[in-house]
Amino acid sequence: MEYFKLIQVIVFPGLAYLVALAIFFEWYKRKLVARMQSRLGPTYTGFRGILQPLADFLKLLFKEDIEVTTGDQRLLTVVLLVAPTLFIFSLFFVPVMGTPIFSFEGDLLLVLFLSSMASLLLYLVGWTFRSSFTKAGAVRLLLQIVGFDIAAITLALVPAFEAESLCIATIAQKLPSTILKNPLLLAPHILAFILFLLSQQADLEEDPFDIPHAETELVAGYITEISGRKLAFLDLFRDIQMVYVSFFTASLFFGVLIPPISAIFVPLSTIEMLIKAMLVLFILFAIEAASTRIRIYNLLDIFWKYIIPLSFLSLSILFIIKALPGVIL
Amino acid sequence: MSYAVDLLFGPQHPALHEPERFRFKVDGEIIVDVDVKIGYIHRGIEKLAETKNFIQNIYLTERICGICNVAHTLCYVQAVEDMAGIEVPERAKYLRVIVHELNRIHSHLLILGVAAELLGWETEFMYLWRDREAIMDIIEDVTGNRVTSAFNTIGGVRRDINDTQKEKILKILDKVEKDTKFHKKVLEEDPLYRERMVDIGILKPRDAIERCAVGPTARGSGVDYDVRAHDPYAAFDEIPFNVITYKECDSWARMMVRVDETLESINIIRYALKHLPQGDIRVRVPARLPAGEGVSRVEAPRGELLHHVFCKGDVKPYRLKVRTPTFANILAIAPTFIGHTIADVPAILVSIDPCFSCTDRLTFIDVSSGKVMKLSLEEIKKKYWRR
Repeated sequence: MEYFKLIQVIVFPGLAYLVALAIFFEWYKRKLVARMQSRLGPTYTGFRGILQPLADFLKLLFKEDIEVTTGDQRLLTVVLLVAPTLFIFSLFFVPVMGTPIFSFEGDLLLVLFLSSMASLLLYLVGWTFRSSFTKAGAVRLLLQIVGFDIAAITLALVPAFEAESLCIATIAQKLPSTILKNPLLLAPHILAFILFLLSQQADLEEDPFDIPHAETELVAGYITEISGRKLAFLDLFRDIQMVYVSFFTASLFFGVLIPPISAIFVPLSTIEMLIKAMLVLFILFAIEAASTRIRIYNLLDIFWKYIIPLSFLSLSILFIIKALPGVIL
Repeated sequence: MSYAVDLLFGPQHPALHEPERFRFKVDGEIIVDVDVKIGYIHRGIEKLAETKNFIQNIYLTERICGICNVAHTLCYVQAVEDMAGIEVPERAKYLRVIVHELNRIHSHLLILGVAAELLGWETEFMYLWRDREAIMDIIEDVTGNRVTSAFNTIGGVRRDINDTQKEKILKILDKVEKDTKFHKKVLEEDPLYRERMVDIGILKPRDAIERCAVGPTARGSGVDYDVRAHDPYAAFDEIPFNVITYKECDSWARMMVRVDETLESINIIRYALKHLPQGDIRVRVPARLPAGEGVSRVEAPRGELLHHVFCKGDVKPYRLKVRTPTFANILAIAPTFIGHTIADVPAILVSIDPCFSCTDRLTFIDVSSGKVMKLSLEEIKKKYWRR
């Protein structure tokens, strides 16, 4: 049994599967956004360029590792190793194949904490260098985290209260039946879903929230001084974050429709979760393709004036619906 | 107490497609001061023009700016014709207008796309450039090359337009008009684009006139000034068109002037094609021109462009002086950065459609005495080059 868990962690649905998915999602993003922008996207490497992200990653690994003397390279290395690990560790609690590898009551809070920590670690990346672009990018990143994180955590509690559990797997499994029993819950659920998507868009730093690394303003923001292998791992980190965001959102807001009761159902539920994750990503990429970058002040305005109050509102609506007489949950 | 730090835009920066330096003093995200330093891409074209004959200089002036190349050749050949007293055939004048306006459409669609890209809106950038390709096809069909075509020549133009080409152009123009109207609607209504552009980089009409802003930069501030209308050249005195002005005075208005001018240019081309007179397309001009000087002004896509040619009765010009629109606009726009955020820098910068390589000039000044010096290349090599 112990060995089975180990294989799960390393191969499926653990490390190997998640990294492969990260590379696949990167291709999915490039291809999809390219088609939205009437471009072709990657075509050369593999079937319709599906291996292009892998080729880019390998190419960056072969590059010279330029160590900028004004930065703390050891801290940077630690950050770049720890940050992706945090997301992969978080994904062990997310039902990627219908059930998670590990699960305990309260892992939702742990996962939320770990993802916040990973974002905060990126701040250190920018702060370690003594360049005005990285500094400005790092400060912007910090402001951005302050904007979206409170909203994201509040909104993640909406499905938790609906399913009355703090365990991601339990939430995902109970969610469809809970909503079927009480369709009124759909109102706060959908509101929370839309707002949560926006907050995750800010976490992924995609348009309109790609403010910390805005190319035409701050060159590359907090990652300006990073190159070579370190840049490769930073890109991998972003892709793994994409996997985390998509599966976390899918399991919290779509639930698991085909729970893998026996081993035969595992491929089915895996595909189901994959489709849901790709649907979430599709919405995020559509938002990215359709919008201009906003200013950091606009972002703080949007989150503190609208999204955070609205997330509390969706929680309040949820409580009111639950307190209505005659509703049996 | 202010904690302003320096933030350097350039000489190499993703928001600048050519090397120039902007030193912004920023307090947090707010810009408190700006110092513009041009001169990173000086190419010595004016000096080079003195070593080439009049025909060769057409190809040289075309390369002052790749994007508004037709405006440069047109201005140059008009200055030479003004100097030598050459009368251009009527048909050539109309053909010049057609290619000049095609060039304007391509330039305007280009900068509208670049503006979207600088604001992080890659989709609109791709769509605008895709729609611009139709115009590039027309230019290639009419002149023989997509970009630097050397269509104008001293005494007329090099190629004629036949009836099949005319029909093809009119057909493509209909499509471009439809596309441009779509983009106008998008740029007028998109809330995020408006959020980034409206009330950014306010240039009051009074300031625009005082600081000699030209072209869409001035017209976006409500200054009704267009060389085509107020000092007509080529066939513009016979072609009816409207001068587009916007009263908003901000970056958004300057970009919208370009959208509307694109639509206006389409109408100008349609009118010119319909009323294209018959006759020759060029007159023969001797290689050696009489002594004298000639001046010409044209409305380049970026604003008023001036060429001044001075000849001492030779096959070469004695002096060629060029005054490009960005040179006027960059100084007009520089103070408007102050008070905005770092995020607004690309939005303001792109609104003047900067073309730095046209702009750069070189003068040696002794800073201590303020004296203007003349130095030869040998002297510079000996005294100032670091080895």
